[in-house]
Order: sequence, then C-alpha cells, then structure tokens
Amino acid sequence: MTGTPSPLVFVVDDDVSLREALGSLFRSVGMQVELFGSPAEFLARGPATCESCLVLDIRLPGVSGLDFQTQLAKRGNTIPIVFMTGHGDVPMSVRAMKAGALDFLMKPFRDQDMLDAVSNALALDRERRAAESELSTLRARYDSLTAREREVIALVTTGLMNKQIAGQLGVSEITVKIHRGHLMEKMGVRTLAELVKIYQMLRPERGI
Amino acid sequence: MSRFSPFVAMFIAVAIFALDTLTTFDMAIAVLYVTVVLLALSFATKKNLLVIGAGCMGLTLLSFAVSHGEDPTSDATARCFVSLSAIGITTFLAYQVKTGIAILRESEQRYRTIFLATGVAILEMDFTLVKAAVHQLKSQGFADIRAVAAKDPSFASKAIAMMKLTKVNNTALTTFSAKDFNTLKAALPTLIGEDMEGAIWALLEAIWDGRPVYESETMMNDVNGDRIAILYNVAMPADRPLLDTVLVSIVDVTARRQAENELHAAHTELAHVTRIATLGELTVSIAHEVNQPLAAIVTNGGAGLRWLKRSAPDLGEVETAMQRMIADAGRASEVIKRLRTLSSKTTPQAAPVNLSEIAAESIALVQREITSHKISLRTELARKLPLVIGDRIQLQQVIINLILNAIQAMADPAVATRTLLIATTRAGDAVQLNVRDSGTGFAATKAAHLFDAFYTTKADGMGMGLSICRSIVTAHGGRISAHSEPGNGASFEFTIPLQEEPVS
Ligand SMILES: Nc1ncnc2c1ncn2[C@@H]1O[C@H](COP(=O)(O)OP(=O)(O)OP(=O)(O)O)[C@@H](O)[C@H]1O
Ligand SMILES: [Mg+2]
Repeated sequence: MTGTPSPLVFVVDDDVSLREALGSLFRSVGMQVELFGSPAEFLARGPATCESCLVLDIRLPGVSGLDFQTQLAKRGNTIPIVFMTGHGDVPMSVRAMKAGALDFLMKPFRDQDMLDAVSNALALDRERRAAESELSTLRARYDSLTAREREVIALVTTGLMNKQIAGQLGVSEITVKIHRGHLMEKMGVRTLAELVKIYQMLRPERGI
Repeated sequence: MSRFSPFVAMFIAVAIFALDTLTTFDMAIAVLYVTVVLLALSFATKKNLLVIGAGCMGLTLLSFAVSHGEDPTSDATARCFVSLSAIGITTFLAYQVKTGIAILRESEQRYRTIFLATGVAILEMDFTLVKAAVHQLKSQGFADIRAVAAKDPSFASKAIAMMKLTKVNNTALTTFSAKDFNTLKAALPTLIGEDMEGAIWALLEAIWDGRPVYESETMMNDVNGDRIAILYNVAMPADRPLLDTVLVSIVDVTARRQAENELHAAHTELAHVTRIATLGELTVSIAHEVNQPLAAIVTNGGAGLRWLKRSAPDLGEVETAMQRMIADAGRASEVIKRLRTLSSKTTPQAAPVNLSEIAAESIALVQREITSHKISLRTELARKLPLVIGDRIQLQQVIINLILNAIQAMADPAVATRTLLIATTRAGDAVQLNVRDSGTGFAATKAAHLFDAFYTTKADGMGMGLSICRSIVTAHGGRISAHSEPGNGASFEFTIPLQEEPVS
C-alpha cells in the first residue's frame, strides 16, 4: 500500500455493537471503514470511487440482505459482498450464493476469517476496477477513430481480406491498407489477433 | 269388576234353572245361561270359564231331564239343543276373549314394567291442542312452519303451554329432580330454557310434516334450575293422528358431557404444555439473539489484539474494544436468562409482577419477528403500574401469543401499513394490556369463536393460542376480549385485577 489510498470497507448491520466491532477490526489492519445501520443509509451515501467491498448482514430490518443484493445489482452497482448469516439461515445463504455473493460468514465468525473474506472481496474489486479502467481507455481510443476507420475495423475483425473490404466500401485496396495502418496505431495494437480481442470487448458496450 | 259378580252370576244361574225346570214356556229359556258365561268373563280364570260353561250346559240337561224326562217332545228336545249350542259357542268365544285379554294384559304389564323400571326417562304427553293449532294454521294457508315462525315468533312458547303431561316414570322424576308427578307437571314450562327454542321449532316442524319421530340433543333445566344435558326422542305414533299419546324418552347425558368437558380441559392443558415446548419456534430467533452479541465479542476480541500487536499499540482502541466485549457478554447472558425463564416453566408461580415489565420482556423475545416482518412497533407502557399477583411466564405467554397473532394478521401482502401498538394502563381496579394491529382483522360474527380451542383460520394454525390466553387470564381472575373492524386491524386486551390487600 504505497501511495494508493487504503481500501474502503462498508459495513451494513442493524446491530450497532457488531457494526462497531467490525469497524474497529478493519481499522486495526489499516483499512478505512464506513458503518451503516440500514441499507437505505448505505444507498444514500453513493458509490465508492476507490477499492471497496460491502459486509452485509443477511437479515436486515426493512429489507432482507438478499433483496438488497438484487437491488444493488439492478442499479449496476457491482460492489463485492461478504454476507454475515445467523443460524438457520441456510436456505437464504444458498440463494445468496446463487445470486453471486462472494462469501458467507456464519456468526459468530473468527476475525481472521472475516479479514480474509474482505481481502478476497477487495482483490476482486481491484481487478474489476482495473478491467474497467482498461476498458475505458480502449473506449476513448475507439472514439478517436474516424467514421471510415470504424467501417474498416468492423469489416477487418470479421476476417475479410483488404481486397474484399475495398470492394465493399468502393475504395481502392491501398486506401484500405492506409486506414488499417492508422487504426491499428490509434488502438495501440500490433497484430490482427489483438485487434479482434479488443473489438470483442468493446462490442457489447457499443451495441455494434 | 265388582267382587259380587260371582254371586250375581250364581244367582242368575239358579233363577234360570228354576224358571227352566218349573215353567213350561215354549221357548229356550236355557239360552239365558249365556249371560252367566259372559258375566263369568269378568271374574273367572280361563279354566273356570270352561267349568262354568260346562256347568250351565249340565243344568240345562238337568232341567230337560226333570221337566221332559218321561216323554220328550221333539220341540223341547230341539230347544234344549239350541240352548246347549248357544252356551257352548258363547263359552268357546268367551274362552278366546279371555285368552286375548290375558295376552293384552301381559303385554301391558310388560310395558308398565319397562315404563317404570327403565333407565330412560319417559314422559307420556298429550299434544292434542298442539296438533289442532298446527292444523288450524295449515288451514289458514301457512305453507310451512318457517312461515309461522316469521309471522308469529311467540307460537313456540304458546305451543309449549299446549303440551300436557299425562304420565311419567320414576326415572323421569329422578332426571328432573322432581318429588312427584305433580311437581314435575307444574314445573314443565320452566324446564324448557330459552336455548331450546330452536329445538321446539324443529319439533313443531316434525308435527307439521306428520313425522312419527323427532330426536335431538339439548340442555334443559331440572326442577331446581340446574342445567342438564339430555338426548331425547319424541315418538308420535302414526295410529294416534290426534297426538293424544306422545311418548318423550329422555336420556340424561350430563355426566357424559361433563366427562367430555373435563377431557377437553385436559386436552387444553396438554396443548398448553406442548405450546411451551413449541416455543422452540422462537429458538431460531433467540439463537440469533445470542449469536449477535457473541459475534460482536469475538470480533472485538480480534480487533483488540490487533490494536495491541501493532508496532505502535493503540491502547485507546484496545480499551474501547474490551469495554464493548463486556457489554456484549452482558447482553448475551441477558438473552440466555430470558430463555431459561421461558423454558423452565413448571408450576404457575404467584408473585407480585409489573405488567409493563412483563410486556417489555415479551416484546424483547419476539423483537426479531417484529423486525423481520417490517412492522413498526409503538409501545405505551405505563411507568408506574401497580403490581398484580401473577405468573410471570404465563403472562409472557399470553402477550407473546397476542403479538404473534398480530404479526400473522399483518403478514398478508395486502396489508399496506404494518403497525403494532402495545400499551399498558391502569383501568379501575385492574391493570390492562392492549395489543392493537393494523392487520386483516376479523368479522364481528367470528368474535365469539376466536377464543375457542382449535378455532383457526390459518393453514398451519392450531387454534390454541387464544384459548390458552383466555385460560391463563381467567386463572388470574381477569378478562380477555377482542374487537375488530374487518380490514381495519384488530385489538385484543386483557385485564388482571389488583389484589384487595396491598402486597406485603
Ligand atoms: N390479531 C388478529 N387479527 C385477526 N384475526 C385474529 C387475530 N388474532 C387471532 N385471530 C383469529 O383468531 C384465530 C384463532 O387464533 P389462535 O391464536 O387461537 O389460533 P391460531 O393463531 O390460528 O393458531 P396457533 O395459535 O395455534 O398458532 C386465528 O386463526 C385468526 O383467525
Ligand atoms: Mg395464534
């Protein structure tokens, strides 16, 4: 942890005592903590901009932890969640697991287990953020392409030869070659294989 | 039948004999012996009847021998024969009648024995007037007894007044605790309680339809006004269309009903015990209550150690963590204490208790359920409530049952707002607790049944909750009641009376 801000752990639990105990635990290992008594308070705070994860009680007043998980997913908030469950909550746990919960800790849990679960969650969030930032770089690069270059990239990545592309676009083969050189450079790739891969990543976002 | 009959008969016989022997009318005087035979019917046994018949025939022959012995004319002989055969035939017929009478008497005797000795109370009644009244109503154009009931609701009581008691057996006297027939007869209208009105209408309907029997079960009063449970059968023989002889047989089932009620009470008691066991439903909730502080303790412990082990230990944080651990341990033991009081119930304990405190404890036990059902709870627990004598655990059970019912009544997704109010107040010479919810409520017609054992509208309900509540509250000398406007929630309240003397 050099230079980068320390990771942030959100705790949502209606039991103030456990909430504060968790706060103390996470701070003792140098993490930042924000504590919430209810999901609504957490939502009001807005999404985090740094590496973060959520520690959530599966039974909550007003809304169950599971419903809250679904709500978050609907809002596009993909923050990794570590669930805390009580006895007899097995069916709920299974549901949560299917819905993509990262980890479960049965109360009472060992502090080390909690820290491990949170570290895993944070690692996942870090990866996700990295992937996200890579994607946004690529998106910026794609946006810098000219209209003609975008037409060429769409055809090139389907595996057509320059000659065929030239035929389709009604330009000379040499023009296609020039466009192709420019767009490879702008997208920061050397090989056709790399280009195809990047294009695939952008595709679902652009709805191409 | 006079006891002089034999002498009268003998005198007649002698007179006939004298007349027959001493006079010589051209007629069969001996035929008159048939009157002797007929008279004998009333006093002679079957065998003697034959003897008398034979005697009369003998006297006839004797007269004939005396008066016409020498030269019997054909006329006289013929007359003698006519007389003999008349006497013979009459004797034969009399003999047969006698046999018939004996059979009849035997069967009547048997009936009387049954009537008197049977364990069934039998009332012989005369419904002539009732039948006539029914007949008159029919001719007035009433279609059925329902139409009569609609037009003249008092007809049932009028009909009761028209029923005449003619005879009863001893069992009937015993059943109704009556000294003798006249006592019973005089008390008859008071034996039929108001709750029998339906039964009377049903009986009238049976009479209206000309049905030969009507059977039912009901409660009646005895002569002293005590309630007795009876099964009865009213037999209206088809061969007595005027209903002058109606037999009402009655079996007293009071003892059996009582046994049944006692069984039921035992059943309730058993269910009560099971109920305490099934408070296990709550253990999930309670386990959660215990786990919560435990989790906090472990976490605080871990955090405290980590603060200590840092290169620059933060003793302030360590101290906070340890203080929280102590608080949480206290919280956990509090929950366990509650759990123990709840499960260790053995015999009811009478002690001075504060209803507000008990309410608070009960709420704590079901807090989880309240929260998880998204119910907003409001409490108005009186601070300075006088103490009452009661069993803490039992009263907790009442309150928990009421709260669980309220929660269930608000579980319906159609219920928009879920609010629960639990209030205690002093109400005159009692303390009162009220549980009001905003659930589905219940119809006024249901109110009477809510507290019945096994009455439930829930798929998984036992219908024991409220019945247990009532038996506990009643055992405490209090009352419990329910009010509701359907769709507007329900309100349950119970009172526990204050002790006469101040608790020392
Ligand atoms: N708060 C309430 N609101 C509306 N109806 C109620 C309420 N409380 C009780 N009832 C009605 O009274 C019935 C009897 O209640 P009771 O508690 O005796 O039995 P139960 O709840 O059905 O079963 P059990 O108590 O064994 O779980 C219920 O089934 C319900 O129909
Ligand atoms: Mg109930």
